Amino acid sequence: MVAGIVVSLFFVVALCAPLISAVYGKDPYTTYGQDESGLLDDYGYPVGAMGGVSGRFWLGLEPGLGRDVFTQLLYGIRTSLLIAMAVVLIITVLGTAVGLVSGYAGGWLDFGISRVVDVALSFPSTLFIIAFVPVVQSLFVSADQQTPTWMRVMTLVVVLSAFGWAPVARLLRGQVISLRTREFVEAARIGGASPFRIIVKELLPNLWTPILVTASLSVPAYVTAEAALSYLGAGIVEPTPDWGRMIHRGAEVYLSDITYMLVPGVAILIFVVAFNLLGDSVRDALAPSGR
Amino acid sequence: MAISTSKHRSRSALALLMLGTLTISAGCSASSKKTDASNPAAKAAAKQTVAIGTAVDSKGPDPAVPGAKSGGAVTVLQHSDFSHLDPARVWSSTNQTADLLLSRQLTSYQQVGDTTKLVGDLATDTGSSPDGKTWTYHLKDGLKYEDGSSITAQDVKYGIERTFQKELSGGPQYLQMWLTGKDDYSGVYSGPWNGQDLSAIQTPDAKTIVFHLASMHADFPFALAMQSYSPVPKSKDTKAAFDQHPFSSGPYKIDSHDIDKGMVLSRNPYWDPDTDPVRHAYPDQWRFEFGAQEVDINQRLMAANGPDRTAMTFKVSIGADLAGQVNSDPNLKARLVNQVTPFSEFFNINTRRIIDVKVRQALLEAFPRQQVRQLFGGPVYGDFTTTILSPVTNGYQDYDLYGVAMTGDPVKAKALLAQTSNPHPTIVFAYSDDPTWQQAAVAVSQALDKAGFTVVTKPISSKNYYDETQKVDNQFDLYWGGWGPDWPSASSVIPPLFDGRQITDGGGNNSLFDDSGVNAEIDRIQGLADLSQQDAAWGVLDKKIMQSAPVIPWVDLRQVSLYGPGLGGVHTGFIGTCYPLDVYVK
Amino acid sequence: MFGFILRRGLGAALILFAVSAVTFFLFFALPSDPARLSCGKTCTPQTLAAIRHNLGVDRPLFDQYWQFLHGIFDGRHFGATWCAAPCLGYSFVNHKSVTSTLADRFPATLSLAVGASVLILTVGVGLGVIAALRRGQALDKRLTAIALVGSSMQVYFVGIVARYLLVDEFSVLPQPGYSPITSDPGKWFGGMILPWSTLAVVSAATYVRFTRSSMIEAEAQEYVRTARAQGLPPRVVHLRYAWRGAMTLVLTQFGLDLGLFLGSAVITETTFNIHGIAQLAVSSVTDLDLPMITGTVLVAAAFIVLCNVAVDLCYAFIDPRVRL
Repeated sequence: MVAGIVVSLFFVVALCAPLISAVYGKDPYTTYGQDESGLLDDYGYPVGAMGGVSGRFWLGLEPGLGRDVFTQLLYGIRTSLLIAMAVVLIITVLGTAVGLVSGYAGGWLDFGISRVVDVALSFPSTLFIIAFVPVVQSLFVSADQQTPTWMRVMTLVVVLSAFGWAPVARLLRGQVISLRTREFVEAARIGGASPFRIIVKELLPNLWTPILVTASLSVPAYVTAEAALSYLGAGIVEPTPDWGRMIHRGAEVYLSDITYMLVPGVAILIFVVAFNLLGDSVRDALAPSGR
Repeated sequence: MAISTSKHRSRSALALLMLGTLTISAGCSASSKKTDASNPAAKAAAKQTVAIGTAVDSKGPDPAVPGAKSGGAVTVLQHSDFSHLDPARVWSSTNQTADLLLSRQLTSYQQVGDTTKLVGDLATDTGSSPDGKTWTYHLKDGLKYEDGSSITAQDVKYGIERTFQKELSGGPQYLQMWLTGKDDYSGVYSGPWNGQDLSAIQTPDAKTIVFHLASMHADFPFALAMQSYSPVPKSKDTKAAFDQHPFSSGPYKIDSHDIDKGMVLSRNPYWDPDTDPVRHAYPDQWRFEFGAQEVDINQRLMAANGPDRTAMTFKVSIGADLAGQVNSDPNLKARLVNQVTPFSEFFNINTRRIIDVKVRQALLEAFPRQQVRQLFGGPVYGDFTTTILSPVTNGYQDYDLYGVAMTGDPVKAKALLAQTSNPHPTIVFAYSDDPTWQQAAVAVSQALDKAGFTVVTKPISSKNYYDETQKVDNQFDLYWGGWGPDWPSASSVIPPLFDGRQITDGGGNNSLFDDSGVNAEIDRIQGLADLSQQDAAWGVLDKKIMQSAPVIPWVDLRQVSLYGPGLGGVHTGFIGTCYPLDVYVK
Repeated sequence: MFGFILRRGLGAALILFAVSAVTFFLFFALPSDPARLSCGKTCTPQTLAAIRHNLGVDRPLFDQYWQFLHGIFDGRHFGATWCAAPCLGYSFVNHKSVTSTLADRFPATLSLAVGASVLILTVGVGLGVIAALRRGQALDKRLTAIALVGSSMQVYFVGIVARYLLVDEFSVLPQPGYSPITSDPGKWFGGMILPWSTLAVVSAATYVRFTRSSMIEAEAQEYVRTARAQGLPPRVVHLRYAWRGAMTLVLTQFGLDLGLFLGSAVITETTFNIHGIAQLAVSSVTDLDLPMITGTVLVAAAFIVLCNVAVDLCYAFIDPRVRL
């Protein structure tokens, strides 16, 4: 219950980020610390305790550029959630479709698809994604043009999805195979229903539970995956606010300003705990037998 | 050559530099604080000169460092192994610093207190020449390699011949070009490995060597001081393997070298201090450890536990993350090297794409020099500069042509742009794709936006940054660059950076600046036989070039490094790194 | 049994072949020119062409791939340098053979994996069993809650905060990092404590949850109920029967996780500055060191495939019901 509230809160905050920051009176792009003297010290670190936390800057200032941490965090939720939701949507649809076809069709089609899934699962995806993000960028943007932010987001969604569908497909295939021989499916087949009809009308309705559970547990997984990529320098770039990049920067400055590390780290932790709890309760609600 | 940056400020310089007396008292640690890093206005003071020493100056031994004693072992912590130790391939400042311990040259720099002089090292003096083209050197007596055999003039010649060998890439090319008179010298001579002899160097006997240059070079004795031009006996040339284990002519030799992990040097028992006017060899042993991250190296130097009491680093600077802590702790501050180096950094303006001088001047006026420096550590990164030449280069004159605030002045820039055909020009700012530069790009684009520019920021993979920005037909307008002169003379700064006839892919003139008046003046100055007349004329030309604003001068870099409390005599040397030759264990 | 190994081995080889092909061809899109890198500063077009020819990068892509495969089984030449089998290529950035670089980095990653696995399994499985035995009690609830939070944490966050507190602020632990066990076991252990513990905090939680649910599931199985009905003491029932059943599931999960270890080690090695294979992969990407990237990706893939095969084998040994 609490988890549900916290999760919805994150969505609300993401949607209302511009509104909140308007009320708060600051934005995530202005370099307050550089524009005004007295906010950062000679070496670029926020003046004052806890990374410059004050009534004016609720969560302090970013070392170096001196941007407002609170609004960066607000806008960072949008980036993370947008990417995670997009990936989860794609891999769920794609993985379900492939899993259904593979599991229901059987035979050589199933064999072929399963081997492709094997290969996809055998790829060290993290290494691969880090290597490939810059390549994909350079294919589409010419030398004297700005790489648009949406392009960066698209790239991440594509590379994360490229590997993410495989486990979903494998899971769904297994479920389909166990359903395939059940009486109601046999009955539909004997009744002359087309394979498409059987898949959509008979199999799919029985698969909503695993699909929903997988999807809800995937959201936090991809939020952290996106953050990890940014942490490794292959994610979202300046100036778009992003949690993973905040943590990356935090890891560079933690010796002098641990606050800048703690803020996005704790935010991500709360988010993931809440979402995992929610995922658990979805599973418990839909499939009481398991527990 | 240009300097590179990666994260924070590890520069794997392709280049090196020389340079003279860093203003700051070179002697001891604690006193080396005349220029306080926290005061950006405190610039290295007067114009420095590196004089040419006499034959008497060239006699050994090097005057003792006050308080120094022999013995003990020094640990050197480095981020990575030396990319080259073979003198023929050595050019970066870190590699050169290592070769200070392992090789000797015909000439070198003697630093005593605040004075730096060029003196004869292997040679009895800095050379004599009737016409600036034929240079004759005589070797001292008692010069020995690590196995006790004598260093001969033929070995010096062979060492220089090796630098022509294509396989031994990476080193500077001054002598190769001067001896052959060709930029593409390998067509004339391709190295000694196939038995060829370089006739432009004559060795009438074991102690005399005569160089026949294709044209006059008054600064030839300075070029000879580069580590690349060290003696190598033909019988000890292990070719490619020489790079990991060079045969030493210097005060130390390699005991073991575990690539990328560590290296141990011990004394060369045959090195005779009485022949050497530029080197001390106080410690018995040098132990190098490679592979730690810079932050970890700094942590170890701060903690100074056990063997780390006598540890130092050649190149690792404390970053902004530690600067506050170190500067507020007197114990740490007492063992901090903090000196200006000969390296300068600036922002190139592509003068082929931005033809209107007013737009270039507007860029200079709007540019957020202070904001960007703050991202790199503020005052510990370097001192602001408004000139091309650095204060430690002969000929340097202090001036500020534009008088614009280091934070940038959008109002002034806007006014300039208003006089041009397009008050909102688009500027492509290219930068190396690492976290610090990504942030710098934010600061740059915000500041230029305010002045009315439309900014496109273009990240380039750090590995390709030089290749891309040093292309003549690059598609960028504004990009960072750095330079370290190879010897303390403006002739190793202004011609490579601003001679329009030297524009090539991979060259130093990355603002692609080509002005016939400047080109003619460069020729005139290089024709002057008197080095001090040259110096004065370079200073004037520096200012003249800045009227066209081909670059935005930014900072003269600082070397700010910790060392263990058990060491004395740590300061920067003419290379700009922490100098090992005066170091002793207390 | 033998047939099974043969079948799985063949399948694994085919998967590796596919992975190597995909990697090789995809990464060729990377804008990297090894010939240019080996050419030095005074690079004439003629020299460049000669080097290209020497390295074989002027040949068609398929031909190069064939050479690559050939090198793995038989060794090959790179210019004047001979690269013995199994030759995964030659790095033109570091001027070293990929195989020897990987071998060089392997002990660090292995240390990380072995130490962390021991810790994760002991702590994770141990607490999981305790939670299952005390099902529904306060201790179980507390453990489950802690496990949920733990499994939601990230190495880059926990690791850095722990490092800040334990190393930099209070100096309880030495600086993390890898040094060879052969040269100084104490230093090796000290440097690895923090990385191991961080991985344990983050991953053990998953095993607590997993062991707990597997145990509970196993307890409900018929063979356990049978055992209990036969009047065997509860301790024997739990440990001999239920635990054994639960372990098959835990082990399966562990094998799969171990396979993915290299992927997650990227973060761990970056955070703690351990010069292992994963960090090598990241730095090769930054350097656009194509042969090194291909090599690391292939080794990582082989690791995953091998772990999967190993899981199947262990399965058979632990659970007699599984037929091979």
